[in-house]
Amino acid sequence: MKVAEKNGIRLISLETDHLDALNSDEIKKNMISNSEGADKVVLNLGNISFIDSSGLGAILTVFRHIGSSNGQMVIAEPRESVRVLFKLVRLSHMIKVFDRESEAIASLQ
Amino acid sequence: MKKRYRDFNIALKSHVGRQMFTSVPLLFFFLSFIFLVQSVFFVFYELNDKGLFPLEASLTGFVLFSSVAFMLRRKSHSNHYTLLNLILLLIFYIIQLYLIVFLQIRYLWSLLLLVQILFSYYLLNYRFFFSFSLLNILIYSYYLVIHLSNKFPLDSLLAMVFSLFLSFLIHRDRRKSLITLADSYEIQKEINNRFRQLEENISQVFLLVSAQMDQVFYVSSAFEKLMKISRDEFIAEPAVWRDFIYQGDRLRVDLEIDSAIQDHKARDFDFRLEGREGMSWLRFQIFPVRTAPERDVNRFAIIVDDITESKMAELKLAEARSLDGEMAARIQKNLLFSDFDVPLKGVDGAAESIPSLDVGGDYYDIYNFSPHIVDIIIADVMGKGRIAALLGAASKSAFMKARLDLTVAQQTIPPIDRIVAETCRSISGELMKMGKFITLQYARLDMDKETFEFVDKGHTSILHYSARQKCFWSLKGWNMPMGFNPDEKEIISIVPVEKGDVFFLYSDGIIEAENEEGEQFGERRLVYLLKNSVHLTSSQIINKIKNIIFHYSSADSYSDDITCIALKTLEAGEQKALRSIILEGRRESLQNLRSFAADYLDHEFSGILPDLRDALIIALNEAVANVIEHNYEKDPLLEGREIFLEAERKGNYCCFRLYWDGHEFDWSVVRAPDLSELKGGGYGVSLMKEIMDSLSYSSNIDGVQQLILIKEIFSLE
Repeated sequence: MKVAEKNGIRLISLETDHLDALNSDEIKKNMISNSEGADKVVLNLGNISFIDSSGLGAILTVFRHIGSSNGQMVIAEPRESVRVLFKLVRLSHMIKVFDRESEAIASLQ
Repeated sequence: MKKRYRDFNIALKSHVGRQMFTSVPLLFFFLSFIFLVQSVFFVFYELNDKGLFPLEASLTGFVLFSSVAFMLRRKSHSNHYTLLNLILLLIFYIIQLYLIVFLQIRYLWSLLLLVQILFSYYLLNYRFFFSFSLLNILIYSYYLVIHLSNKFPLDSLLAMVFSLFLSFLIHRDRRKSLITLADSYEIQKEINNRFRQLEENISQVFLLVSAQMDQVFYVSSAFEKLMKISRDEFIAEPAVWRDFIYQGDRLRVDLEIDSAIQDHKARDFDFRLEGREGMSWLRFQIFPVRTAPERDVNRFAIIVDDITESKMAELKLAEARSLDGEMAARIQKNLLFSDFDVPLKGVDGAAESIPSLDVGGDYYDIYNFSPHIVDIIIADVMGKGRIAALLGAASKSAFMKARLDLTVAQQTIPPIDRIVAETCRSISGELMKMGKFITLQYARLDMDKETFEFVDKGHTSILHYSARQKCFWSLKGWNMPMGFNPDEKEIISIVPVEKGDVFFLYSDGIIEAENEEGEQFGERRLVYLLKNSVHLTSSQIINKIKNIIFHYSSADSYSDDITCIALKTLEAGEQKALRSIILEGRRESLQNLRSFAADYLDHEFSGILPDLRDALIIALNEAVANVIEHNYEKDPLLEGREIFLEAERKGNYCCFRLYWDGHEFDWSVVRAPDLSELKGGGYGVSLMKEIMDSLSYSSNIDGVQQLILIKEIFSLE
């Protein structure tokens, strides 16, 4: 997991290939600890080729965590295979999803 | 009524018991004694110039009163005996006056007086009692006047006073008991009158017969009218009436009578009499009679009633009813149950429904959309009998209408979930108002697509024999019975069909049939039975099941409706190459699963839309993750076991079958959670449902679980 800070916006990029029942718990904890203290977070999913329902649950948990301290979180660069899931559950009604990281950053500024 | 009469009898007895002379011989004895005393007195004191005249007078009195006593003994109850008695008494008064005044006899007349008083009080009817007392007083007054004027000796006066005193004592006794022998005759007469009135006016015949029923003590006059035999003839030969009993009832009547004689119990039975004026129905009521409370039953009272009219009406009604029931059953069987009248290509089907009453709440419906597609409904309406049958018919017509409406609107064969949803919407509300519900399976066998689809509305499972796997799967669906929720989303389950497969649809009457010990037949027995019958034709299978259930329940009639349908596929496309993978029961296998699925889909369905492919991978991943989580991670006993995945292409369809050995799939989160609740999990099952066309879940009796996921990859157009 790569974490960077840019103009007060925290960039978290996941570096695993998948976010599924196998690793979602661990990654969820990491994401929560890495988003501590930030009120603007961009979650980059560019490396992820597969997310299942537990991975989705992990993302929603992080989103809730940030939202509880009045922060904002957006998702950037999901692959097509991940977008399928997002479409199925209509995630865009809840979390903004951007094709490019720069768009995501711009939306938070 | 009977009791009151008995009470009256007891009262009568106690009054009679209080009388001075309880029997006529005693009275006669008393009279003889008085006469003897008179004779002695006469011989020793009164033998004088008057000769034997006083003795003769006394003898006359004795003879006359004795004759009255004898007449009374004959139990005649006519009033003119008391009148005769009164006349006799008057004669005696005259004799006495004659003796006293003209012959100056002292002892004798006083004794005669005594006798007279006793008799007068004893024999006189209560009605004449007061008038006679008045007469007595007048006569004593006259004696007194004679005494004072003629200066009678004092002993005569004493005798007179003594007799007056005695008279007073008897008078008191009379006042207590009031009833003389004559009075009791009066009452007897009244009772007899009442009895006669009853006897002559009641149309029922009553008899009093001996304990062996071979002797008739009494038979009422209505007997002659009923039997057309004279009473005398009957009393002389009691068996004569038996000849008139209708041949077919004779044995039964004899048995009833014999058991009445043996058990000394009341009996009540009907039989037919073939009299001279045609057939009539009689009701016999036999009551045991004890002539005294402490004795055994030594007589029988029998009441015979002519019930021809009511019996005829009853029979007519029963006949009408059974005709009605027969007709209802006929209508249900022939007009409401459709059969496999149109042969379905490559399918051997048979159906049977046996209602527990004349009509039942079970029904089935078979509708051929084409030579390749057949829709089957098997339904069980809550309850039994005609209301249930009527509801069944109503729901069946609602299905027809929905099918027609949808076909017209869509210009194609409507999907089964739409048909069920439409029907449910139209009749569920009414069912809910009535508090009724219907469980059913709406199934479709499509030999074009080689699929078996069904919507399960809370019915018993469908048994599916897989010829390839040589085992029975118990298929269950998802929905609640019709009449619970009119807006429920109907969920289709789809199972691929192969050659030699058997689908067995049945109502719970089969598995709930109970034997004598109350043990239910159960699904295991049914599966075992079917397993040994899969080589038979559908109708043979059904006959076999029917017979075995019938023997098992060991009853004359089934306690619940029994309905079953068997479908056997005779032809089906050749088995396509299957691809399969064995997955370890660990989360690490998910990666293997995904690559297997991606590879299979790309290879078998080249040109598949990438989004669809990715979605299918998600669904499969969710299914396997669910199985792993709820089996191998939760139950250490299952550690190391594997999941078997089979992928198959069926035309445009892709079919994945997942098998595992362990616990049931966890369907606990069937309803999709709202995403806005930001829950950390629970999206798996709803995702699977969203992605796949059908999920069907089943298990076999060996505990193997099967989940079939089906998705149409290329649509027909």
